[in-house]
Amino acid sequence: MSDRLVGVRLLMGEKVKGEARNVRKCSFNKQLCESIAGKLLCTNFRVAFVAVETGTPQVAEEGSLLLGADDVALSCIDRVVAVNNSRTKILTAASNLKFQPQTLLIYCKDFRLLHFQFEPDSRACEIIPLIAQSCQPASPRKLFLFQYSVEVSNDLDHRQLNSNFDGELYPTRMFETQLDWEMELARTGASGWRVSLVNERFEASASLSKILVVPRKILDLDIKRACAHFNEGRIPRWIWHHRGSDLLRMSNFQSNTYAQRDGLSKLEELLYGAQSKLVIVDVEDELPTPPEIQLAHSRLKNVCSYENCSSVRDPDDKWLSALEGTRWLEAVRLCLKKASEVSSLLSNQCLTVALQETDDRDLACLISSLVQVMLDPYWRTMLGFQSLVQKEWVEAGHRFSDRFNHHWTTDKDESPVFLLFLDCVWQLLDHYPVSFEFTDTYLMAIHDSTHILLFRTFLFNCPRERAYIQQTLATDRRTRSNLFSNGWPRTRSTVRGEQVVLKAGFFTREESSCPLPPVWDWSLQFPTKHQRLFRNALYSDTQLLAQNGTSVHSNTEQADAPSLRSVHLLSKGLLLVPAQLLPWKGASVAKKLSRLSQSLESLLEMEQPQRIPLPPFLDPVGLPFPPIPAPGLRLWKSCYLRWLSAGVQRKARDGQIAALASQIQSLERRLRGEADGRNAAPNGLDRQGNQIPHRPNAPIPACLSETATMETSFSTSVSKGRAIAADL
Amino acid sequence: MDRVVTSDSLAAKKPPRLASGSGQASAESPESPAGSHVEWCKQLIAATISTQLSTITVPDAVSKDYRVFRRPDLRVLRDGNKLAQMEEAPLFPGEAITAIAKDVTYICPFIGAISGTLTVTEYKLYFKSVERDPPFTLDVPLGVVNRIERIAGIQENSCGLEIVCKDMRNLRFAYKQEEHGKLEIFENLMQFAFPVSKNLPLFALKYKENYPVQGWKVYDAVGEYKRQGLPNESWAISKINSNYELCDTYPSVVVVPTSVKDDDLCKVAAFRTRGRIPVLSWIHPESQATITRCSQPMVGPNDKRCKEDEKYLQTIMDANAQSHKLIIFDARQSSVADANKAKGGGYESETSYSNAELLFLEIHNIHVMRESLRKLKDVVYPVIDDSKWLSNIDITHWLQYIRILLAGAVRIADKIESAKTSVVVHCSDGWDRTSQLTSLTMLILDSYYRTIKGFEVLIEKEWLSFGHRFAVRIGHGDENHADADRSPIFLQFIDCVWQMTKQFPAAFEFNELFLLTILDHLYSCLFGTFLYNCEQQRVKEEVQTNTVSLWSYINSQLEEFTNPFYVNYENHVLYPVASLRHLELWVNYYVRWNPRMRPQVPIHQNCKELLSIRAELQKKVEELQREVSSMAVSSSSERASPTHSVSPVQTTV
Repeated sequence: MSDRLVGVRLLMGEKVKGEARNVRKCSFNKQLCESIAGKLLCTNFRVAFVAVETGTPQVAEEGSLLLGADDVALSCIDRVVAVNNSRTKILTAASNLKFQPQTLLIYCKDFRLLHFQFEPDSRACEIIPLIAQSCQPASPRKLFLFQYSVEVSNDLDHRQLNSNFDGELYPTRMFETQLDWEMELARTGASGWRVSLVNERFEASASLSKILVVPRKILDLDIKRACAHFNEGRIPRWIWHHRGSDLLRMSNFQSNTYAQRDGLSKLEELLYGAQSKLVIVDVEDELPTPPEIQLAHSRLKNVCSYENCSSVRDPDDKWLSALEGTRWLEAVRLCLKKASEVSSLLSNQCLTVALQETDDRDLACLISSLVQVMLDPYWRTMLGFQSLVQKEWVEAGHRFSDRFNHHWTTDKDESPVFLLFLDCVWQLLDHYPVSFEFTDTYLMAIHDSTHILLFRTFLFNCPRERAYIQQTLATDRRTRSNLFSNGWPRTRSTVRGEQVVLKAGFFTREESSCPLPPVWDWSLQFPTKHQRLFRNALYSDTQLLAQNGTSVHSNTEQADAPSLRSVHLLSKGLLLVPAQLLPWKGASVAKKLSRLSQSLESLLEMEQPQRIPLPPFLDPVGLPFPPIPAPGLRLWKSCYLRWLSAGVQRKARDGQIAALASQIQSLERRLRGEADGRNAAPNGLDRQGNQIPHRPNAPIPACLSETATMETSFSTSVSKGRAIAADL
Repeated sequence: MDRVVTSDSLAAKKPPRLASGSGQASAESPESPAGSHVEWCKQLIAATISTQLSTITVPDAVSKDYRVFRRPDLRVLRDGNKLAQMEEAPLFPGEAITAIAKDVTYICPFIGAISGTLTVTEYKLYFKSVERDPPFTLDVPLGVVNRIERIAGIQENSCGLEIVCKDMRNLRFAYKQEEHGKLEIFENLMQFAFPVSKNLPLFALKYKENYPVQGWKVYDAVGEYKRQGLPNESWAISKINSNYELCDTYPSVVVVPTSVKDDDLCKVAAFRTRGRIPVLSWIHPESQATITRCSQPMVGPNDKRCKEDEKYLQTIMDANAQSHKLIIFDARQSSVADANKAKGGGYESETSYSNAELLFLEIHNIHVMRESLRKLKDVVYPVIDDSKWLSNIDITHWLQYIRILLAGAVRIADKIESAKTSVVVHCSDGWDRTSQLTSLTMLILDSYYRTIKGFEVLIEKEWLSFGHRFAVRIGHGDENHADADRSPIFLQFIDCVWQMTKQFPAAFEFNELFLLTILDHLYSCLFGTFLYNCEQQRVKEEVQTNTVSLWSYINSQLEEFTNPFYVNYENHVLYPVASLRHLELWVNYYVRWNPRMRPQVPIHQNCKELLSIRAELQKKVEELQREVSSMAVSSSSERASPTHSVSPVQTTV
């Protein structure tokens, strides 16, 4: 169907399922109700509104290539409500509409409310049940994604053939391959660990990734055995290394299993890893549970909703109390606090810190990634952050599908743990705006992408599920591959000329024939101009330097002497000595000091002299991100309240900074050109080497006064991401 | 101000040459235009902004950088230590130490008891301890002291001192009683914290500093009215109050309708409380709609009328041809206005004032505001309950009152801008809520007031010259802390301005530091700007010759106070969103003493860096171009025409 006829730029494989004319879309500005006439479309991907005056699709102000400003993806729809004078009905896929509605309200997962009005007695409202049905697909396989991806994959193949591959151009590390993990071990300088393929066929653990990092001295056979003693087989495994300490993740012990003495000692080896001191952190302690997070989020949605914000009669004098009542910010605060506690543990001396959660698939992802964002500047770059999400969420088996309830199967598992994580990162960004390579806009793009089901990143519950689906898709596609020719959708044409390249070896061999694109291929969603806003022009990377030099040597020798071993539990900001490390009979008992909870200072005094005492807890000196107290936390208004009003000026400022940065860039280019010109000149002075020394990592503030290093200093701040990627 | 003098913390804010602490700054920075006090004040303010960092010095990006690369600046450290050994207070010239007590314990609510030396001067209270590393310093201008109480000894020989401050904190000291010196401390504190009550001069009168810019010249009433296009055919600059005879709390220069005779003005003055007749504050450059301000009419319970007053308001309406209506905004709650009527005050009835429409803005009185701030202080200092933070803020109603004020200003501005109607604003006396509303409205309507100079003019005009009673509302040097006339009216106004800067970050030329500095010196009594109640008093006390203006200090280092994001939105009317959803508590002011509240990294710093990088690059490009072209010229033979001129780099900001 021609786009002009439909009025919407359809994606490949997208089909219009229904259309309603004479619909008015209402918008509320400054308490005035304005409405525009037009038609409402329902496709297998979106609900779109086309204004009659323009007749052309509205250009999205956010610059999204997929969706127009008045469009909403079906997967982003939260509730469909039909209203007439007397009745209000929430529609589900199965429900029948027994009255003639005048108003259609579409509540979206991103807090937007779309408001449409129908002419009385028109047949237009027949589209309402269609929308309700479409947004709740009967089976996961009915998702538009799968039609889209089959079609898109041809085009991707096309791109693959036409472009010469350069891995550097698309360097988000997916952590799907052995190589990424090996690189991570090397990058962090961890020793005593190896990459194991014990889970390659998902036999050891169905929810873990194929690749596991385990202590070097433990055999795959023992690892397989150990799996039986942990929920879902999620054994303690290496995640990250920082200044001599290792970060591990694991699920709770399966205490109803039987373990032999020999097996127990292997389990201990597994837990201690490369160190002799172990701190187990129960991440569920003090933090809200996923159902509580869901409750907080839905309350937040409620207080930020249009109805609660717009009433003129009732000024929002109780707003702050209402906001507090959602307990969303409290959840944010507790997560940041917990992450600060863990990061102060990690940064102080050589420890093994193991994060433990019942199934190790929600809060452990959140805390583990927050800790790493706080301590390691690499994760605060764009590519780093994407890699972190891959490592700690996607590959670690966060149940995206269940938590976002993509398939409308059951509500009880729904919980936006990942959005809570984004909010936590936003708070850090808000407080430390120069420490992050990305902006608010970038976090919003990730936030919104969780509701667009075209990408594999946020679609599956675990790597195994992804592998399975991709395989079926590949089969599907082979049967249809000859039907196809019409290329990329029209929206792609703008991007097409630019180099959009997917990394070679992106997909493992059996999957490669059917790639679902990852969300990190931002050019599928946004034009380059908009992507420019993702990059924080004020970013300065001085912290990166500060941290790299001060790596503490880990003392692996000590780990081999079990007599020096110690174990603590982190609970409520205190370190406790557990009675037993492992819950099985015959496991070694930790040294009997005291079972009473004690503050770390007093613990410090009681420690035997030959042990290296733990440093005072929560010492904020040297911690780049200490816990933020409640007065420092703010609501992420540019995300949650963006549909209401304001926020325009803030954007203006960001744009201003971006413009400034690009001016500098062009000046810099010009400077290079001039310098080259000078060198080319016959009697050119050989001064350049002195004048512009090659110091790729010179920090900005130190050399502001020296013109000489200006060029290099700037290149660090802007093209840093590239530099890091190259270093790695 | 609590602050820690360490090379790290200061290096974060200042170039290293300033890092040696206050006393040395003068010797080390001779090139500094305004001398040591400027530097000292800068540090003082920098410390203010960075909150009381006590032991937790900022490891933000910049200071960390210093920690790594600039560590070997030992000279600075050593000097700092020497200074610390003496635990001596740095002084302004003209400032004298009046008492020193050793072995005093400061009971810090955040880090516990610290023992050190307490010094009292005519201007400040200074506590320093070298017990800690880095040394702990507390530097509090006595002007911020609201109340000093001696606490009887818990133990026999010790006694305590509690100092309640106007800037959202309390200080507690403990010392041994038997030593004679200690008694002196209390007496001295009482004397110099409350000089007015003790018939002593305020320190501002002794403070002598020559700034390169003369701040008293910032505001010239006639010049400001000229900027607005006055006088014109309808409005005249009147000399009637030149001796403050018509109204003693009004400025000598007022703008009134041309056609009204002086006799009638006197009659109007007799009908308005304290003679505060309606005079022009601002005129719209296009529509000629005006903001006029006044006090309430003395209608009284018997509905007294005054023909001259009615005619006067009619004249104000007629001066604006665009509208046949006049809106009178009464800032008070209507119930309060009625109560005032019973006491001889009141409001304009729409029957006697034809074509006038009266609207109440429902703003509470000064006592409610004082109580709200008191509650807020309890919430923010010293202990913050994290889990109930937001609802505790709600209970104080502070933000609700800010919202009502902003909403009122938006309504007024909307009438002028959209309906092109002239407005009259008053409350009871017309010097508290009226000043808040007129100045906020002018800030919304006129981009000039959003510049640094313009904002200073706004304060000089709407607040100082129109007689907001600063001395009474703040209680400068007055020991009567329970005075019912005290109220944080001006603080509320600055808070509203801050809210606007948050909503329009690029529309104001000044930054947060500017607002913080104004508030700090509202209490400090270092500058003469906020002393006394009205222009008449200031003229009588010769404030301009005897004291230094705050604007001298600020305008001597505009760089510090400039917002790098500023874009002059000329002729833009900025309507702030007066909804609690879009208001925030000004954490950097109210919670700044809490060391857990680390300041957000100021991005304007980085933006400034980008700007200067661009300037440098630009310079370099030009240099190289010149060099290339000159080389081209020299290498080629003389025959070549030397017309290859340097093309300047075109940039747009």
